[in-house]
Amino acid sequence: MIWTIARHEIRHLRRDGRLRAAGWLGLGLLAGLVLLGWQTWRRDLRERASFETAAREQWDHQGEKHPHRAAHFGFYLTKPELPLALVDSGLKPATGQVLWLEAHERSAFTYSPVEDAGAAAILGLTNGAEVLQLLGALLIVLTAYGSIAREREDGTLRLLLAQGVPPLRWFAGKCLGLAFALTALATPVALGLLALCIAAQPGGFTSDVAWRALTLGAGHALYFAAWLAGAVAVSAWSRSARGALATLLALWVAGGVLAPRLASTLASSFAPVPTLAEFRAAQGKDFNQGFDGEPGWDARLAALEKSTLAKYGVEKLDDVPVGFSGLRLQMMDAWSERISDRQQQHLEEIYTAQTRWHLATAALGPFVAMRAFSQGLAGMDWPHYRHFAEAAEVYRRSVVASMDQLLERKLVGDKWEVSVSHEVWSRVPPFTYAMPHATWALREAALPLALVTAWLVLALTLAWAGARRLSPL
Amino acid sequence: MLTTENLTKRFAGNVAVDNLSLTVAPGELFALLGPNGAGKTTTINCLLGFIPPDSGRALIDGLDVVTQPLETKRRLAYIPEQVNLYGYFSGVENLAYFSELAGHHYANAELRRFLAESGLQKEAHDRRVSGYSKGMRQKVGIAIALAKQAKALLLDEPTSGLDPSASHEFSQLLRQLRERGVAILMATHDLFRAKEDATRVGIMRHGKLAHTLTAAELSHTGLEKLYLETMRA
Amino acid sequence: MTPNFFRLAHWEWRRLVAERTGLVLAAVWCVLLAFAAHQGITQTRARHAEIAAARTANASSWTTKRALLIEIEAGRAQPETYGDPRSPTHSIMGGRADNPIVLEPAPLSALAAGPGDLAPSIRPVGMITKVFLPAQSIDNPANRLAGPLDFNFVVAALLPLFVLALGFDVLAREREARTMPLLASQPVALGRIVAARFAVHFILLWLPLAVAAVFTIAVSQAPAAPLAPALGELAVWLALAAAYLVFWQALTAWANFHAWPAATNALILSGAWLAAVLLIPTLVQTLVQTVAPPPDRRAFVLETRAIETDLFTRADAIRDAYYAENPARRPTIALNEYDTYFVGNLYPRALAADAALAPTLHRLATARAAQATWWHRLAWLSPTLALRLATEQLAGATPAQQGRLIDHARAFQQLWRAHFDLKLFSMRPLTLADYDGKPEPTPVHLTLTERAAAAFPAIVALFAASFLAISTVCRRSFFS
Repeated sequence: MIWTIARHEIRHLRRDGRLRAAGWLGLGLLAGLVLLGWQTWRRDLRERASFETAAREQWDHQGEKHPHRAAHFGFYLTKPELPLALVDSGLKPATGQVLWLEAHERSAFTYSPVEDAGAAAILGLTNGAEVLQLLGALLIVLTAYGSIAREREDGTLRLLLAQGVPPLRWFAGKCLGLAFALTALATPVALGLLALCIAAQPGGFTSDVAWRALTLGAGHALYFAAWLAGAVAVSAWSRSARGALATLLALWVAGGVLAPRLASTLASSFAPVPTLAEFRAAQGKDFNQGFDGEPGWDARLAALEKSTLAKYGVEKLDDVPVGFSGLRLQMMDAWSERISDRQQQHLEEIYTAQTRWHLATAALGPFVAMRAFSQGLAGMDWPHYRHFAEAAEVYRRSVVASMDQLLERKLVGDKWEVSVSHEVWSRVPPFTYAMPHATWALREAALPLALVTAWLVLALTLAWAGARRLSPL
Repeated sequence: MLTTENLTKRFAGNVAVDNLSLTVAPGELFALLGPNGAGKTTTINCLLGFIPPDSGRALIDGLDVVTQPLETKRRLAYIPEQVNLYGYFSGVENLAYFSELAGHHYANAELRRFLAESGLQKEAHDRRVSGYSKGMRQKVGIAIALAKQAKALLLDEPTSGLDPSASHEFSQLLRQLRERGVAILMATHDLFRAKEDATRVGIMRHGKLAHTLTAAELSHTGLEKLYLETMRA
Repeated sequence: MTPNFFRLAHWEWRRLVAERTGLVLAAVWCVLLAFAAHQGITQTRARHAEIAAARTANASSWTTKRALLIEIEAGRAQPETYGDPRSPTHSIMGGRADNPIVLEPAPLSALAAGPGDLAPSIRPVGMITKVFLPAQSIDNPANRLAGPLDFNFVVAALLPLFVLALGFDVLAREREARTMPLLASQPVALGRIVAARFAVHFILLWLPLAVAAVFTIAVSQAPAAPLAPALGELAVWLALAAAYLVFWQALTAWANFHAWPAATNALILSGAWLAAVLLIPTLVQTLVQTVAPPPDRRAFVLETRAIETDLFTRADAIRDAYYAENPARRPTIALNEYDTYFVGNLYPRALAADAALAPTLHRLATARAAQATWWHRLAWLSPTLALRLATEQLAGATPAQQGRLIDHARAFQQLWRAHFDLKLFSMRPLTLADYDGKPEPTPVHLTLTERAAAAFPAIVALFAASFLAISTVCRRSFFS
């Protein structure tokens, strides 16, 4: 019997011209954005590769130079992306396109697209995943808002129940029919996206990426199921189809349009990031005066001078057989790196608090949580960027340390000026980076996934409760 | 007062009202009888100016309904078959609103007097209309018509859904209005009421007035017989 | 006598109050406005505080150096190894000597709080500062991505929803509740009743907006700034908001004329909102990025580094050329290895780099300007887009306006260099006269004329859309 009801429902949906139109429109937009994302991603892949080669060449051929000045000349790196990024570009518009490595400064993302394009860049929907999640939910709302409520309004529910159909069975049949119709629509879309991801970088579609894609698909299934259950629940509880539509649209707007903005406002109000001036001032203070009872720079420098003189048994720094500048720089870098780590830790705590505030707005709707999950699995959320930045920071420190050690070897006493030839530059090892695994990404995105699941459970509970008290009046 | 001159209206090829000419003078009550689809409601809609006639004219107090819509509406009160009011307003508020739209600003006591006159119990005056029964809503509709102090009154199935005592009260009201010189056109299925209240009776069929006679001419059974014969013909 | 418009409006107000949904919507609207006001106020105040702090820090550091200079010259104090205020390399090279060049937030900047945190209002400028480099940001990218809940967003994206929610069934409801016959038989044109209804909705939505906006602007102004011009500008923006409101009301009225059921109205109007607020901006954004792509920053990076390397290899030649052009700058005393590098290598290269990079920077500015032009051309497609662009321009929050800050910073750098570099090259000690005569940084003001001129195309687009909508609606008769 459930199957009969489901089939009836599917037939009814197929005949609805408005739904077909809406479906095609949404599909068109999705296809457009994803194809554009595909094109951009492939171009980006080529440009990234050529940029890395060119930047490395510039480093190798920077000429005879003082090693410390070479350290200031620095490196530019770009974060690699998985093919999944063409569907969900995540934080890409707001993070820098390149990572800048320089002596004395922590590696930093620079030149973010929103800075160049201004706020106009964050007006519409930026990537395929956003379209899928936002407009897909809307399509589900439009399909399912009248499923129970309209039957009640039209009076057909009265006839059905008078006919002796068990209400729960009928309800289940309806839901099944809707789910089937939507799955029939979603499956080719999912396969199409998968095909595009594979085609984008044939060698790059590893088993890890496949796992990520699978998890992403499963997450989306949960998300859409939550919307379906929610729409049917609202339809069951509402007195009229109009009321159901109004409620669902209000929820969609609150969760999808309002919540992301509210999230960023709440986060910046309750967990504000310090201004750059304050941040720098804090670093400077720690550097000069020390922290947690540790001595500041002047004391350290004095201690270094004394210990070096003692070590080599000389009276003046000029008599030291190694380059004191190199020793001084090594100590300065080690000290400033400790401080930088400390300040960065503090900043990361603020970021984590902000993320918690972002996810708090998931109370308005599952969209915010789904965005976070989707970005995480596609490798474009902050934990992934941070992972890359940390790996680059390790590399930066090793390069800078090697430059400082070079100074120690090549110089004598308190001299400073020296030039080294470019074989030295070529000997610096290249930067290698492995993207984190799917399990790591899933762990980082566990909380958003839990929130989406919570919404699903809530919606199912409400739907079941609505089915139990189903009445034709 | 209420006149149609060769009024004709077609809907999708079918003639709903066919060259209809009738007049209702002040103090008269004209009962329009006929089955569903005879053209009664269309005639009323034409008199109200809701539908423009294809040919002919509808006149209220000598004014053409089509050329002077607002002036004619001012002289005309209307009680539809289903009196639907604003559920979130009370009975008094509904009456006040519609009266003000008609151009009359009444004090609260006067409004309540109208409601009492139409038979609505005092406890119901300030309750939200969403809780009224059909009969109570009808009474508010009557009060609105009374408060408008119009010279003409159009009624569409006014007694359907009213119990005999309310129906009787309504009859009394109509008599009072006739005595005040109001011209009343009443479309109804209720043969008994038509005979009781009307001064003249018209039987409509296929958009035409098949018979027009004064109420005194026929008895109750006679009216019924004439009606059935008209329908069978 | 026929009831006049105010009486009709009075009844519509009573109707709104009796029917709770209208009040609930008004309450939600006020909550959103409160959020927007809070966002605008805190953001603008933070910017003012940041600017004030930077100015104070800079002023106090120079005052300290100056005081120390007086003490040293009077023989009452000894200079530190790396902190001699008389030494040019200690005093004016290095970040501590940088002057903050400030972009004063425009009076209406609290309305579009978004872009304010994308680009800072302060550029530090010193002798060798690379002004073209982007300012660093430690902001959370996840926070930047969505943008904040400011007035710009609340009015452009959310106000239409409230207009639709209040008015989508303005006539359809009467039809469906079948109160229409009784209403239509009264001697009042339906059009007047509908107009009264929309008037009440307008007041309900626009009045709290005006109050919130006035409050925000008044509170977020810099302490010394006059309030009247800001309120004048705000009046312009409130007129824009009113035009936008009326556009959506006209659209709602249009839908109601077609005797469709209320649910159909809701769907059609929601579709219009979706198109105007989400779909068209997405398409326009995609189009603009294809037609006028943003500057290729990776190529920019490679170019700047190539120039840097080139200049480095030719450093001696550059230095000699510089001394040939400016013989007065040739050092007159023997320099230690640090000073030799600063004076004979770093500084001339910095000057040459500025000249070499000029064409690249010009290209970047052109690319940005092209983007802005395209956005304005396509603003005609959606009134939402037009309002957003107009608001951003009026609030002084576009990348083009940020470009003004960089130009001003560069101009100041010329003055700064001109004042100090003779002493730097000849390594003569700085005197009190140098300290007292140094150029003071002036802030960049975006005047109303400039901002209004920039916003003009978008403003015209918005008013045109409103006018078109209203005239279309007025031409149709109100009888259903």
